[in-house]
Amino acid sequence: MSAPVLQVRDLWVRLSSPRGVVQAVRGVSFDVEAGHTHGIVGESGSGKTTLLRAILGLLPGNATAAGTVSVSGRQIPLAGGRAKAVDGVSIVFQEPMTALNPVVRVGHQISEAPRHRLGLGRRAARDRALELMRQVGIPDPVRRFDSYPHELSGGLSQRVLIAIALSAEPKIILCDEPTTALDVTVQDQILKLFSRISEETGVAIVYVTHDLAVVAQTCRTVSVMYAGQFLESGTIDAVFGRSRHPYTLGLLGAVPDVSRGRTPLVAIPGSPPDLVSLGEGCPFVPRCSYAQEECSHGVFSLRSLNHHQSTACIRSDALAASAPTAEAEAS
Amino acid sequence: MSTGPILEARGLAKTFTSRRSMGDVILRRPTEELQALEDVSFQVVRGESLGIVGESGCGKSTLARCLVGLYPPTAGQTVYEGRTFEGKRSFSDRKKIQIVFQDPYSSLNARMTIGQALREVLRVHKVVASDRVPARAVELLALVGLDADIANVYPRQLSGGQRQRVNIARALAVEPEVLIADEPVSALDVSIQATVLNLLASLRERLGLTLILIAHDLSVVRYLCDRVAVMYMGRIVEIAATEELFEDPRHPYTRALLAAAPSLERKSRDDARSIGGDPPSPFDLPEGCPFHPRCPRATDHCATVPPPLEIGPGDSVHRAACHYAWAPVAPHHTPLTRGEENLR
Repeated sequence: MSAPVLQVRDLWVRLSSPRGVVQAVRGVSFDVEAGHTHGIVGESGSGKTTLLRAILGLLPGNATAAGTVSVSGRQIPLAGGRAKAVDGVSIVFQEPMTALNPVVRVGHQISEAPRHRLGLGRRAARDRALELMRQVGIPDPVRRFDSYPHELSGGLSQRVLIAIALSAEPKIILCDEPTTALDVTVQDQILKLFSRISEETGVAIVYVTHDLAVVAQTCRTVSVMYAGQFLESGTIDAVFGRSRHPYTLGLLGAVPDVSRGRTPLVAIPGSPPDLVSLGEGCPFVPRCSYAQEECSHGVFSLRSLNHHQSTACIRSDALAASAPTAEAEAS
Repeated sequence: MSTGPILEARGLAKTFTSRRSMGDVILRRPTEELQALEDVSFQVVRGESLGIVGESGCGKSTLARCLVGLYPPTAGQTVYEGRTFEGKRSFSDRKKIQIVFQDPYSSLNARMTIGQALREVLRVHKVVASDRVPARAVELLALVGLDADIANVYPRQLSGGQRQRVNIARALAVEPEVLIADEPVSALDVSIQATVLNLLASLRERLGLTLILIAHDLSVVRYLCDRVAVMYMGRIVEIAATEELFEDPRHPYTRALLAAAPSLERKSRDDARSIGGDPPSPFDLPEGCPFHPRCPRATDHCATVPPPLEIGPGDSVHRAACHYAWAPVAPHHTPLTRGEENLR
């Protein structure tokens, strides 16, 4: 087992807003090894994007952060003052059309990092850009080098963004819902591209999405994020097959699946909490059917169940006993 | 009551022309035409739920708008209970088919309370006597599982799921026979989607509604619909009973869509069926079958002759617009010689 290339330890991020302090990330810890893909699943407002920005070193000015983030063993500054992107970390954003500069040819956008961060000459940077375009499957790179973003389809733009993310030779690529804006057939191509890239280059990928099925097909490990914290973490098989948290179980029962017929969907009652007014106790309590008195007090953080899985639910044993369906599916 | 279809699309076509700038006019550039729908025909029987799936730009929302009467079709008709809707629809005709839009945030008037929005519909359409209007508005909220006090709040105070329920209540206010839902859950959070999907299913059952569900998400359609039509580039390429379509897809595009859809339960990826490339520009559709540039089975025949939507052998429901939909083995035509657009 190799040393983790990304190490996040007890990360807290608070954002001050007119409504009060938003507790966007609350005590998140995780590791990602080189060549691995780690998924983070959460609904909107669960703090996933803020978590990514913290790792990228791009927290907004109104943020205060605590905890540590290390990239290749080197601790990175979290927030405060001028934001500065971290060496070795790149990001692929959700909206390929808005993430590209509309008035700069895509080739120049790809060769920018090789020129300015790797210090390559103009010619060498161009060659590097063409090579990256080939690597991410852009047909006819020489012609596409001089295209403007509006001339490209959504799928091609996303490939350009991935080429840009790869251009500074990162150790880690952060993906913030990179396929949500794309059609399914194109999404499928991009997901395959990510797995090929991580195999070929050994880059670690952190894949953030709300789509459980996408995570199940691209990642080896997954964390389920809710109200700024991880409620469950582990391998895909463990978390999705033998979940030990009522929220994960709820999500799994609430999403329709193409491979499944008409098994009734069971909705999770209520809606996600407001991150401004979080009290103590488990944040899922108001929506949880397993909740008891003890769940409303104390601090809930991940505890390890076994080598493959950890959960923040203190009633996970009761859950295991009363969730025969998930068990049956796994066996 | 007739036993025929409640709603029928007969050869619906819709062409949009691009706006020409002054420069285009001076230089006499021809107007660009976008064929959003081409010869779309299908029937829906009372109480049925039909799903329409396809990727962005395939014309599914245009189809919904043509059926509701928001767009006049360029050709073809919408037939309701054997009666052809022509030109501007009468007040009572408009009530029969209602629509729920995708974005619950922009489809409600931000300056009207929920109660005002619902009461307006009830009054304008004289659905109930004027003294019954407030009570009916509360009944409608109850119908979609919302409390009566929601009537006094503004849309911004509601969550996305609640707003979508309000949109459904508003569509149901005029007591329509057919409800068209255009991507009703794609803007909602995962944990909320199930509540709206279950609501649509139960409303259909309780009110005997006919439902046309438009979605890009195959899993949503599989969950709610009896029959599914797959659209590509403005055409229906395959239509069949839901289980049959998912278990035995005949059109290569349907196969590709199913193979590309991520699933929690299917571990191995069906790489043989997945496709490369992007959908073509709707301004510049390829000759012949619109899918042939991306199709793994395409032959030279496909590049010239557009395939009709044909009925499968011994079966009156399953139709597919592919020359080789029911061909047992690889076609004897020579495979299409292809250029550089083959992506990995």
